[in-house]
Amino acid sequence: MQKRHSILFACLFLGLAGCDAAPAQQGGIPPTRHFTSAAEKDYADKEFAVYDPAEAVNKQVYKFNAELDEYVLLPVVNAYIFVTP
Amino acid sequence: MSFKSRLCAIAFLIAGLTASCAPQPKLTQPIRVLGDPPVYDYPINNPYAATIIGVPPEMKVDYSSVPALQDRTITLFKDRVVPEGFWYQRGFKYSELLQTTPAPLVYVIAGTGADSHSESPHTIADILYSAGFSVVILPSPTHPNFIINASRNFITGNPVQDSEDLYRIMKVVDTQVALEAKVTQRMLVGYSLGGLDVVFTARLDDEQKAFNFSRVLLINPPLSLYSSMQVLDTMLYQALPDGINDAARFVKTAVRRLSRINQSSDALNFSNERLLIDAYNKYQPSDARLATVIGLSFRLAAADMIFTADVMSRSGYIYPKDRDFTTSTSLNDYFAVALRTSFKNYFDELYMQKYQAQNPRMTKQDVIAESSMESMAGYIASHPNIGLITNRDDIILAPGEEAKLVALFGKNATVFPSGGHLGNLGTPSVAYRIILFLER
Repeated sequence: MQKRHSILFACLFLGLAGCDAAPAQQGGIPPTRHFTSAAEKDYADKEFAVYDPAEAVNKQVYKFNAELDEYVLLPVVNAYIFVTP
Repeated sequence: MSFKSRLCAIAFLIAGLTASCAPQPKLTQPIRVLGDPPVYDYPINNPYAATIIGVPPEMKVDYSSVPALQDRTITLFKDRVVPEGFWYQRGFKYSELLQTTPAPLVYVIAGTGADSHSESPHTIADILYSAGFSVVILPSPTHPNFIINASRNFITGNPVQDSEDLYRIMKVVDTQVALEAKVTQRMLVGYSLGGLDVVFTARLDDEQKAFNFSRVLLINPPLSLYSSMQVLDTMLYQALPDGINDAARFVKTAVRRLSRINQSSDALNFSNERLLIDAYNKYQPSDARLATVIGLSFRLAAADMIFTADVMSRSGYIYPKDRDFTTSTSLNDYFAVALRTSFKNYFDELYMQKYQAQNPRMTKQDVIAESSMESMAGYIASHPNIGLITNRDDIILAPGEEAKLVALFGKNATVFPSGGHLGNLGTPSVAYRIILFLER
């Protein structure tokens, strides 16, 4: 049973990773504004960027949780509050 | 503009929103019936500090009996395709607070980068609802939700065009409100950039007459959009000569100082009401540092606006025009570039390009003049139902602009001697003046 659960979870995560793996169309046309120097890019990487190798998956999971909240959990909670005395 | 609420949000986040165990000060009751004007005793004389701190807790009016704002979401453009990366901005969002009995309805237009959940529109809604008005708060045309869902060409910041967007939205919202409440007359209130937007919206209504606004009130508006944006852009550099490249260090220092305020207080006192004023009194920051806090906050709002306008219009300004924008797109580099983009950059490089494509004869000076309050001088002078509330030391006004602004409104102008930019909005005196003008 435990093993079956593990496989289920693995599939779920692989599924999410699969969503992420769908390659976003990469921009070939450089935008007008960009870093003006390597030092600027280096500074931005060091000071503002958060090291997050799983960024894309984390964002997908965040979106999934937010939508679960909005469309499932909160309506259930509100309905419960409405019907309970 | 939204920078004050952003700063407060950051400060509250740092302090931790926990229940207060401290004794609450006795608060002033809301002004419902106009009697003698309250004494103006706003205590902060430094305009930068006033802008950041707002009204000290002991001076705040008790609006605890005002119900919570009701959020509404509507679709304005059924065919609009919004990039998947903006999934959290689906639908145009506004808020309302409607009376159960027939009442005048006031449309409140938010300032730069703000929506109905910012502090200033909340305060205005509390003041108006307590005095018997129904209230609808619309986000600023510079707010990402507005750009994505309500702007026609996405390149926001031109009051002429933004007011056309606002007017079209208000017609839709008005039919929704009519289903819920009885409205006796309609009024318009705009603060900060919203103040400029409402004058242009009122002029549009003079032509189309869908609302016949009985009162139009501007609170702390700019005289010239371009000039105020430059003032705010410049503030960033006052304590940061290298601009954004120094910002992380500056923010870390500010956060460390704010966190020390709570450490040194009574262990049981988790109240964050006095956090900003306590920090100000303890560290006595220089005007340059305070100006930089405001400039940085404005830069964050501008970065939001510029990035959203760019992605939605597929201009290829910061974000590649041929790249999909999805949830999993990493935004670090684009955010860093957007933070390095001033409003002036946006105006000169994106905004002017779009407007000159539509009107090739328009020069930059024409566009700046067209979006200035002074271009509306004749309209304002011939409409005694348009009023102004501002402060002598409003920091978004360049030297000499306050006098020009007051001259435009003549006897319909109320000028407070202090308060910076919207710092005194929550005082009984300002509430009294707002209600006095609308009920006159």
